[in-house]
Amino acid sequence: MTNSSSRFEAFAPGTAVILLLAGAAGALAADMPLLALSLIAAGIVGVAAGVVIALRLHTAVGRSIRVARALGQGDFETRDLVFDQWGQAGELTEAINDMADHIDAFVREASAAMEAVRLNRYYRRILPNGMEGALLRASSTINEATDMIQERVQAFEVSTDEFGATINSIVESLVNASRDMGGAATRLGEGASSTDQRATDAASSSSMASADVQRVAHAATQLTGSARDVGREIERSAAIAQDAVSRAEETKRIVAGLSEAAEKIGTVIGLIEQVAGQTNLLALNATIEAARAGEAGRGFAVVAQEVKALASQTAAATGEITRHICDVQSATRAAVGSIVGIGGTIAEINAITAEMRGSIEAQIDATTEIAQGVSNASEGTRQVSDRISGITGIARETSTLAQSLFSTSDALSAEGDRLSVTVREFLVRLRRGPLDRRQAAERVPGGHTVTITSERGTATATCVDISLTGGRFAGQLPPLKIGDEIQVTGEKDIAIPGTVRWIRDNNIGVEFKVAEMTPAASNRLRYLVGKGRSKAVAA
Amino acid sequence: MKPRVQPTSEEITFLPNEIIVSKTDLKGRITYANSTFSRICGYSRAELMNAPHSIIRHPDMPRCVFKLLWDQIGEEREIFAYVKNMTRNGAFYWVFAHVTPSFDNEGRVAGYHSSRRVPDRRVVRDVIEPLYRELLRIEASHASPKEGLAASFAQLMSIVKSKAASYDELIFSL
Repeated sequence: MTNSSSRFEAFAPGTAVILLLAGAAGALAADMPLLALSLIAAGIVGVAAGVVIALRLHTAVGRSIRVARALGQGDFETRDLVFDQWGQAGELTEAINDMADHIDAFVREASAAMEAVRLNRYYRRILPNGMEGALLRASSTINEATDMIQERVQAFEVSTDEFGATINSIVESLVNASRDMGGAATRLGEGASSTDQRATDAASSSSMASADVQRVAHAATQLTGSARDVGREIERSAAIAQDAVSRAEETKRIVAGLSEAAEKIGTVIGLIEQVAGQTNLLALNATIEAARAGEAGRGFAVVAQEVKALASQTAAATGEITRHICDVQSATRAAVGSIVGIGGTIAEINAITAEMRGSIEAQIDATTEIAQGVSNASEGTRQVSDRISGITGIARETSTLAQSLFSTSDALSAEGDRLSVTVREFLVRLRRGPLDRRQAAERVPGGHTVTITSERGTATATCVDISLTGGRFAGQLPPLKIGDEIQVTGEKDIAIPGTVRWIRDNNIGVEFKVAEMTPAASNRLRYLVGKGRSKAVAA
Repeated sequence: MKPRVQPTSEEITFLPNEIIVSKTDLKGRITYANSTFSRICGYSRAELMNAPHSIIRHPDMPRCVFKLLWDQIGEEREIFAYVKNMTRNGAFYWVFAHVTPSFDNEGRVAGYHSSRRVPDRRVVRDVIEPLYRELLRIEASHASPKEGLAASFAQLMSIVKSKAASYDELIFSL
């Protein structure tokens, strides 16, 4: 039906009634009562038709108002279901339904497209077909926004990928470095410990060496003393020998004098022997003379006889003396030979002594030098000892440092791991997107009994509320501290890992470790949250 | 039941700014049809109301497409599908259908809503028609309709899997 026909529908009965009434008035004026009556009757029929049309329009308008109100209240399901009416009523119905259909289609499209964006599905676009005017423009705007979000998310993905890769590489370097550092610290500690041991050994060796050196120094000093004593003895021996040499020379001279005296005695004895011989001869002559002289000469003969006996005795005595002198002379010669031998021996002794003196002096010099050297050595070993003490100190310090380095490297490694986990979780959360986070954080009532297990103990608690990322638990809790890693086990014996984030009275807040959950734990959690949500809706 | 309509080769088209709208209850019975729907399919609103939506089903449509449709809206997810429908007098018309669940005030699914738009003729000609022919052939090749449906559904899923991450993504990439 067209607009002109609609207008016709609205105006036709009124116009007809007016024309009929005008005609009736004219008929009355022209004194034609039958015509006037017919015209009035037709006018009444027209009025009745107008009333029927008005009532139909009125009910159609009523239905349209109901649909329009429903639309206004966000109910896009209601339609005017009285179809196929002729005229404006039908047109109104179709127009209202058409409007509802288009708004309905737009809302469904827009929410589906936005839902897809929420789920990080960017291929979903609003279909422009069937949309016109503002709806089409809004659709285009949403599609453009989706395009832009997609671009940004892709850029964001690239950035987070790069960031993740960079952090991972940093963490890897950090962990490697700390591992190397730990290794180095271990080696350093071992080195320090070994240095300490060696220094201690060296210190004890050095201390022993020092004692040895001290003993050597002492011995050297004693040796020098002994050498000096020996030198003095040798000097005395040399003096005695020298004395002996001069005495031997003197003895030689005395013996030589003795030999001369013996020679002279010999000469005298020769003379005596000559005299004795001549006397004997004279006695013999006197005896012969006395014998010639007879009696007168008898007395004389006796004397001559006695003289002769004396001469014989003298000769015998001189012979004996000569023999003795010979003995003396040979003894003297032997003595001289001996003395000469003694002199040679003493000279040899002298020479040896001189040599010995030189040796002793050299020895004294040497022992003095040794003593000096030993003294120096002693100083040296003392210094070595001191330095070794220093080294021991340094080694111990190094050991302490190595220990602390080791702890640091451990801590560093742990920090690196923590950084890595944190960044991974951070990236996971970032990628999940803010809308998803909001949904994930939506808390629903719990009510079921769970077992909470931590390193400090196990206890049974009640879940107060729960979301996809965490939960609140109350009741008999095991002793817990903020930051404790726990396992929350529910009815199905499925453990959900988490970290205690806060503790108040008998309540704890637990953040679930989404990244570490098993698929079973994830599903269970989703199921619980879904159940809680429907429970909340039902309530 | 009305006498069985014989399909003809006549094609009906509608304008890009038009939407064919219908709503059904949870069992697929029509609870609302707009005037465009009535005009295109040739059934009056009185005939359409409370009729099963399959009233306009064309025998060229593979059943696995409807299985996918029901599976997906059963999970409260929207679905897009290229559908060949049949008019009251056996003519056909192609639509790009968008089926979504409708919720009541308590958030429960109360029925389904379908908006049908003019499809891209290129996609229908180059992709959908050959694909549906193949799926239909698979369905017909099995003695039991159940096995035929399972086989054609598996084939559809395998095609989806080889081309995109999901059916939805595949449809939007066409």
